[in-house]
Amino acid sequence: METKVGIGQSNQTDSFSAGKEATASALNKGKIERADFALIFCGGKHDPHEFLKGVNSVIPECPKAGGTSFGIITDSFIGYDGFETGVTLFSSDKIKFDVFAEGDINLNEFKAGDALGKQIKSGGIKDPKALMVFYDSSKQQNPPMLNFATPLFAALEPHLPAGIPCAGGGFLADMRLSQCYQFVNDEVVSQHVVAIVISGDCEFETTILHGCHPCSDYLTVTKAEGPVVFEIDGVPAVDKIHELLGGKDVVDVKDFAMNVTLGINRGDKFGEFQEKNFANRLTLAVDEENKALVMFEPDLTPGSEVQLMRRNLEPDYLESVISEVKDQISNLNPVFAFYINCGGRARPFSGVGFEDAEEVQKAVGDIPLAGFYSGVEVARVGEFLQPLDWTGVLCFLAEK
Amino acid sequence: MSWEEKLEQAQKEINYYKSRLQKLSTSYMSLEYRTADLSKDVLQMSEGLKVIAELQDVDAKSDEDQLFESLAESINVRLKMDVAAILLPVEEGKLDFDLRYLKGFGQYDTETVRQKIIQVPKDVFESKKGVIVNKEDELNEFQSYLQRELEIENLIFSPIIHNKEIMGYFFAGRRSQLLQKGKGILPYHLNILDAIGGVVSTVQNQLERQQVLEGLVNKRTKELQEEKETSENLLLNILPWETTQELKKNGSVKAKDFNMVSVLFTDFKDFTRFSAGLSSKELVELIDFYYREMDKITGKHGIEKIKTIGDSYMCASGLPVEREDHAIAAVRAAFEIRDFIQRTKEERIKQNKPYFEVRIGINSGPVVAGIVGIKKFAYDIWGDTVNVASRMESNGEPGKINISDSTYELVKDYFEFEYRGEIPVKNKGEIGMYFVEPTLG
Repeated sequence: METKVGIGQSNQTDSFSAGKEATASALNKGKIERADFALIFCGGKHDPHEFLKGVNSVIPECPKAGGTSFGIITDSFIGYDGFETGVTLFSSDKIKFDVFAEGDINLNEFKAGDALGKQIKSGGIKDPKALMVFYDSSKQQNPPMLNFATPLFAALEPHLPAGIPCAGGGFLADMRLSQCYQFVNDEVVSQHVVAIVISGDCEFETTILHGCHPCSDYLTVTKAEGPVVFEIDGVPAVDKIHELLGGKDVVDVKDFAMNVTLGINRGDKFGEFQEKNFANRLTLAVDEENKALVMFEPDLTPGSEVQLMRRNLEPDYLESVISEVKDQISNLNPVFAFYINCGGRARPFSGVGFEDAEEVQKAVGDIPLAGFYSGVEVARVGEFLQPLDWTGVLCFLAEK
Repeated sequence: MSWEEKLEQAQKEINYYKSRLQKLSTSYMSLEYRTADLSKDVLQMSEGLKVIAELQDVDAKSDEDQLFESLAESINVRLKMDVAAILLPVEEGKLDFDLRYLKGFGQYDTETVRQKIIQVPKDVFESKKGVIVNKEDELNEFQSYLQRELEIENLIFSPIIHNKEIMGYFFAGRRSQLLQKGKGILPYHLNILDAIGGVVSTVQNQLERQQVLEGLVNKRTKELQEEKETSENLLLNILPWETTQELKKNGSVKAKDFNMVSVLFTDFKDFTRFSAGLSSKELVELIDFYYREMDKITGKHGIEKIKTIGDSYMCASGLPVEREDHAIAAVRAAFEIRDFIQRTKEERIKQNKPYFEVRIGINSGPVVAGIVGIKKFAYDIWGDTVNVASRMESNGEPGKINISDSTYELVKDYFEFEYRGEIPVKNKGEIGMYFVEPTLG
């Protein structure tokens, strides 16, 4: 049987009805009689238990994975009001999906990543072709803090087949780091990392849509602790950024959060600009008292060389990158596209004059597209899996 | 130039270009940040416009409940709030407002807050101005009260002005955004709610106008209904009900053959002589008195009044709806008419007033019934049966009911009879006649 994929969405404020409507719509659009696997996402204002009940009222037996997210993307819908829901259903004899999950990520990201890797390894999946990993981004503590992807993926990667295509994202319920939930089959959990191993006669291609260009000299982080960058080039980080942006009168320090982006070039330092070599780090918050930047990830350690990045997101750029990856799978039958997009890139938060997910919808064309807005995106940069910020990770699943 | 000088010159050039590049980057970046900020504001405002656009689509049949329910939800969703409400006065003219239309989501305690009453101070009410409350602000007493009662740190409380008066308030609140710039509520939110309030007022006017129009339509419909009923009653006075239905449906009525009906005639004895002693007005009043009662009696027995011709009253039993007991019904009606005339006679004698005596005749047989003419049309019957019935009356006696032998055959088992013999009738030869009386006991 040829692989069928159906994608449905609903924007109803009643969680049960939204789950039911999105699932029924996915069944209908994909002309699916037997759902083998479901990716399910709901906005942060929904009751996840009611949403899951709604989904289960249509596909009670189907294995599921997903979570609460900051927003939903499908081939015909983009929403980030908190009430959107998206359901993707797969029906295939050729492609298989296995779900693994590990909890307590908030206590120790590294340990959770390691345990998840061991689970996947001992799962005995023949010929795994790709991996999707989603995790709870918010630690749910006071003061709020994120779960970090850097140790999580550093611990997970050694257990995976070398170079396996992988894409991932951190779930955020909203911009306040409210309680976030994950769906693991019929369970609603928190502080979990969820992995979906894809196997069978298929290929999985990913591409990174950054849209950031360096616009400063190389700067050196001179003092940092975890995700907090205190000093750059020997001066308080906030002062250094202000210096680069023209001073306090020009840019309010409150605007640094979700805007100031520092890029790490993993390629040739003075070579031609290669976007794929960059890992970008977005500022999560500003510690005004200490004139420090709180980053999404803790990997800007003292000695790291970074550049201030400017956003250069253009529709043409997205189209050219997506065309390139579509060419790579042109001899196969692409059945599904999945887009993990940084929440900060959504139009109400980015200030960019267009919605980049709309351009993705256009470029992907008639391949069924689903996705969600995330806190952190994960993709392979160079050899290793890298948490990324202000990034979109687009994946294509193609049947052989 | 020495190697050191060349190096120094190259470094100077590098520094120059670096400095230029930094200035360009700085200016570009600051512009980009400001553009981004403005762009976010514009997007929020456009979301506010969407709320207004949705209001324009309010179904004409919507009532206030539906309008405010959907508006609260729309404000909540579109303006990315955690809670939104429309507050209306508990009692007209009072400063207490309830939170009937409250839409809260996520962790907001909607049910508890919905029970609360918000008291607006007189000065705030009279100022007709909105209030913005943000977590970091220094708050006055009313702002603190709102923050406490509405259980949210950042909120906007803005009047809905309708016909220059406050008809209620908007309330929208959001928790602090950790990952977004500074304040929860911005001044443009007030502008958005003001604009929404303007449209609410317009919609409210439309709803009010609609209510007035609906009232007028209902009143007019009732009047028309009453007029219709009056017309129909009038028509029913002229025509049998079945005939009116046929007339309404087809615009005309076909003449119809009835195989067997009983036709009843009455006539006042010495009417011409009697009427000479009365004024026209008195005469009409007196006839009207008798005919009204006779209408009641025939109506009671299901007998169709056909017409009156001077002092003669004509009715028929067994049409327009055929009935088997037409002759019995006609005889029973005749008894009642006769008894009424007799009672009246006795009363009027006591009062020394003029009175009538009546002759009644009944004949049974076939007739043709229908309407003729287009002006002052009337339902009428034709046929020999009618003529013979008239002869029965004229061959009768005052205070007696004279029936033909054809009627006798139909009622002979039900009443007492006095056979009068075969009596010659003009143009009809001899016809057997009977005086009929009720069975004793």
